[in-house]
Amino acid sequence: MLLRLSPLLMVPTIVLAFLWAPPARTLGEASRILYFHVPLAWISVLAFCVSGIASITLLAGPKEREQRLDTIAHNSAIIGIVFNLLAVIAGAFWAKISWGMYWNWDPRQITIVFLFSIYAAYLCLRIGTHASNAGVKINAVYLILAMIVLPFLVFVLPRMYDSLHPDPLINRAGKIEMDARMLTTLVLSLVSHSMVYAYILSMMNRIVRIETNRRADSL
Amino acid sequence: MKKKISIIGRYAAFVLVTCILIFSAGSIFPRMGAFASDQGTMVTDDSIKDTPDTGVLYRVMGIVLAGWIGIFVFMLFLERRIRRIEKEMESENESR
Repeated sequence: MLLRLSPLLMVPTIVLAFLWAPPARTLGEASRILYFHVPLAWISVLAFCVSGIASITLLAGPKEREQRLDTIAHNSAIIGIVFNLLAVIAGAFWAKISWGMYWNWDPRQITIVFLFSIYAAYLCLRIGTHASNAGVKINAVYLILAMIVLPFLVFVLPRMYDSLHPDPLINRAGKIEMDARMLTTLVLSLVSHSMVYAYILSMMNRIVRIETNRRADSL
Repeated sequence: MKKKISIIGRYAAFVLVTCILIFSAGSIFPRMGAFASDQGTMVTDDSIKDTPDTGVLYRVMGIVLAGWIGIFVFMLFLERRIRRIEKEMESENESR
């Protein structure tokens, strides 16, 4: 029930982002994309981690739960891909406004697109292997490997090279140097985006569950 | 064996197409951009304005709202699909 209210939480987020939070000093009004671009990227990472954890549980757990965990891993990966794409698009628009071009070969731009292609390749793998019993396990292994690569692409590689991106939220000195209103809006946005992710995932899982039950009933 | 080859082929084709798209986008966008010479530089301090840049603000609002309307429509679609399947199941049970 609480998750059903998640879309409503987006309304104050949007209002705060555009009317309450001040524009960043050097980035101007374009900085308001921050309240959507960062949570979208955060959700995609969260979704990929959930799919990886579900895959580990699938391989380690009993066979009865295999179907359910496979559904969670698959749906979470799909949501991650969509949110990843939205983060890339939002970032490209921001780059166009701030840097003059949609694509700048920035390390973060490259790694997030690379992450997108890793998970998009998973979808191809799944289409090809899902019909077989071993396919579920092959997909789970792929998602675990992808989850291992993920922190290097998101947290390590972008920090190894000079980037046009501003310092991350927790900067190199290990501090959060952000205006209190901006930080509040960003945290609210992270919470509301996370709830939207949980809601979409629960609905997608429910659809698969109902359809599986329906098929079982008709047999 | 044939199936395995087709899976690998599909995967390889996907990776190839993705690489071509990324690299072609990377080479096309700089030529399309009006500020191609600014590649690799941050916005200078001269461009900061004291008054809100409404043009940029509305553009950002448009992008964000368009994205969010898309996500809301998708959520509504999922809700309706659940309701439709449940209704169909109910009618199937009744007819039995």
